[in-house]
Amino acid sequence: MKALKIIHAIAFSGTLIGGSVLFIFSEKKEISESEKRKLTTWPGIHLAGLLDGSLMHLYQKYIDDHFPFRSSLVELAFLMNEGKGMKAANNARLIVKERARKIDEKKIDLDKAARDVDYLVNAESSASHGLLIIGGRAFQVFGGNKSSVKSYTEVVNEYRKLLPSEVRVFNCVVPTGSSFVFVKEYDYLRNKEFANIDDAYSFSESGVINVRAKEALVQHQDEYIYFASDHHWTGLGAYYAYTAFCQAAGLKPTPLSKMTKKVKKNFLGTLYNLTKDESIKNNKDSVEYFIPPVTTETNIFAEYAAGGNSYGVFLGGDIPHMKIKTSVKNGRSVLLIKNSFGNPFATFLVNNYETVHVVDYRYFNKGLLNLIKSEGIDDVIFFHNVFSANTLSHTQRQRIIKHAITDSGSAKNPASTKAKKEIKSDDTNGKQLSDSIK
Amino acid sequence: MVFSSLVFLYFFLPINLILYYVSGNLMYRNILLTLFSFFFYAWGEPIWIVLLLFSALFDYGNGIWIERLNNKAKAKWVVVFSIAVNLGLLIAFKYSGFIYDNIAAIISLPFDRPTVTLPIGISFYTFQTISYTVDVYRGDVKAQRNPMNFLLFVSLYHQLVAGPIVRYKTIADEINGRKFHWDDFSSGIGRFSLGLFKKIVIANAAGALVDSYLINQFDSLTSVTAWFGITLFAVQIYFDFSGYSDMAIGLGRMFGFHYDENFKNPYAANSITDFWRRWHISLSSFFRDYVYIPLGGNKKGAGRMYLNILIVWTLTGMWHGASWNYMLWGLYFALLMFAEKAFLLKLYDLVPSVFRYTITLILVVFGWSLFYFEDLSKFGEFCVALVNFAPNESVSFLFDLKQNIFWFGLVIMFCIPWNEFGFVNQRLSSLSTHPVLLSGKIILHIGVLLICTSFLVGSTYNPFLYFRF
Repeated sequence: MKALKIIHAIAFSGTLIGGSVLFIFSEKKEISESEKRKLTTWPGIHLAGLLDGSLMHLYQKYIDDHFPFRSSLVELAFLMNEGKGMKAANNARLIVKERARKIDEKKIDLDKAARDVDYLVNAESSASHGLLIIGGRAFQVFGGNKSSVKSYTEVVNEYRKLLPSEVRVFNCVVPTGSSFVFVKEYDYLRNKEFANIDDAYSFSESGVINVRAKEALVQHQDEYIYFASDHHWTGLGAYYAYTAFCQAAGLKPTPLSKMTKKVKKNFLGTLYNLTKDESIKNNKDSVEYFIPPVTTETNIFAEYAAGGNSYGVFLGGDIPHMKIKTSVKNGRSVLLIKNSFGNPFATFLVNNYETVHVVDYRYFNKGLLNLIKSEGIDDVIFFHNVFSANTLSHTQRQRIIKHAITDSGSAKNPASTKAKKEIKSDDTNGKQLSDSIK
Repeated sequence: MVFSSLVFLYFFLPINLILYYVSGNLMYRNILLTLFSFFFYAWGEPIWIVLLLFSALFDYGNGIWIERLNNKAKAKWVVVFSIAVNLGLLIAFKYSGFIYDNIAAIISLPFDRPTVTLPIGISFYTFQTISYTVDVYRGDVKAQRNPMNFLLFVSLYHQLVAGPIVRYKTIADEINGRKFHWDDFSSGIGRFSLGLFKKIVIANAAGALVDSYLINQFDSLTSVTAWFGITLFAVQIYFDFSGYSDMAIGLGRMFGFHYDENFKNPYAANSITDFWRRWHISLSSFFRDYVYIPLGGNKKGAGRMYLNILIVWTLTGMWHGASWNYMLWGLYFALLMFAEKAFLLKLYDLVPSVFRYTITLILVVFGWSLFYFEDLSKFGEFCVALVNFAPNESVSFLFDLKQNIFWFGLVIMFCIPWNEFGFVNQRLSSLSTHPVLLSGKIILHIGVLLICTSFLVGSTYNPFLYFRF
């Protein structure tokens, strides 16, 4: 008996000691691929940090980030969480984790948030009520409403008033994959996005041209237009939105048959990383992209994007401002104001414009009105998915970047700048990109 | 530092254990434990070490002073002095903002609201030192002559930040000399694992759900989701608090200390009076021994007893936080006790006992809403939601129910007072010496550690939708 108690004591303490020994000798990674973030680096030792306690906080984060067998333990945690209960009808699951860190943007200082790039890049989930997993796919559950989308369209209207009448202003809001879940029990998830887009357009003042993208997407709802494992959409989905834009703008869309289709296989995106759901893992996506029959001075595809970063093939990630000169000599220029959802859409615009400006409003801070004027831009497109159109901080950001501003937070987006550099040098080293683009 | 963190489990604790058990003599061990306790306390907020030191040395001096005086009448003034200073510190750090707000609401004050942050554990250790001086004065315990040993009592990290409120007389002998038993160490591991599991697997998970209902969905709460939310909060607070107490008691055993129980199946209480004999026992017994009984308890007539109950429960409420809602929470229990003493207990005797268990549980769970909502207008809205009987429209409710159904089963199993059923107890005590059961425990406790570690690591898994560098 006593022997067993000794074994008990030694086995338990030994496990604790073993953990720290393993920690000390384990390899420390710099980047977590699946989390798309840098891991905490060793903060060193300094007196000031010890005295105010901030250093201890960093030590704790360092240990958390580099704990031995971290990824296996994370998988175990996801497994345990799944084991807490049963799935709902049609094997659906709603993930709490995302919901738990939901930010209520009604309660924050929007002006401050709109200047905080670190905040902005992850604020879109504030319009989400969680993640629904069903049939090997994951969807963000839309939580926007009429009033949140109204303030967005008001910003578009403000631009319309300030711009000369020969500049055309387009309002384009597209639905996300959750609008296309055809399971009766969860029908209510689908309708809200469409109604919200109709609301958005109903607030557009005269002179703002609404792009009927969702109608075009609905016509092709059985095709591969949204990913199962990522919150973005496919190149094909963006193409149908592009055709709707051409219709609104009086342009002739280039048919898909004239473009060269390329594919990146085995893509598991952000929604898989958020859920680690086995059914999604077994339902890998592929990223299809379409090379247009025109040439561009700047490379608009990062062909070396691979694996979990495959969506980065479109434009090579999110870059504050890209100016793309094309071989279409019609003298027309367009400005696309977008977030990452707009990247595949942008790759189709080169078919119809001599100059395509692409601005990611989350990183761009130099003043849009001035850009439109100095570059002599003809068409301005406000391009959103229904989540970002309902994200108040994003709306506020677009309001304040009419003129140049200074950002707080990490104003620069080193990942994008690096990606941009690599695109220019036409680097084909996939490994480097995967390091820089996460 | 908190127990439920990787840095505590895999660095602080093993290093502490190794150094403690390689140093053979008691003096070294006590000094080592004190140093580790200071390190534990300083982790994250080093500045308040000063206050802890002051508090400890102050009452160390008072204890000796009281004993030297050898004169009850004079010693009484030392006790008054000690209590005044201790409560003064507690008031200054914990309640000054609250007091300011209430005065400022009536008259305008010529200075700004004091911005004091609450030093961790101050509510616990000031009560511990107060109980020490009073006990020395009462002659219940001898004053500690060795300042290092007294410092160990005040700072001991097992119970420093979240209780239980350990009285000096409980561990006086063990501070001055304790024996090592493998039995203790082994049972300490079991208790610690239990607490860790309760905190990480149950309380943390309940907490995420609570916020999702009582914060995120507050505006659309219906009777079903409101009761669901507050029940989950009852789960969260019990498993969080009692989990910490279990870990403290377990850690104590691993180092040879025996602390008193702090929770005894509180949700299986058959009356509110019974509930407070089972919930946070070290606090309710503190108020019983140092406030209620000195005020005359129930020995000075019914009127005086009601007054004493009122005082004790107002103080209990206030102790939990500097806000009106906590005081109302305390008063709520005082009123319920009046009712029980006046008629309710007699009424309970007339009906099957299942009713008194159910009614008590509902009253306790509802009471937590006073505890949860610091904003009383929100509490009001919440009460309306509790009884609005609107059809449930929450998207997540049925998902949450189904996705956590086994977990709910576990919660209920943990709330059932197994050890109060005689036959279970008999069976367990006859089995507990069985080698197969003990071997099973070894595997169970390492398994619990693994599961809790995975949840701790999992909670640091923080994927971003977009590039974040």
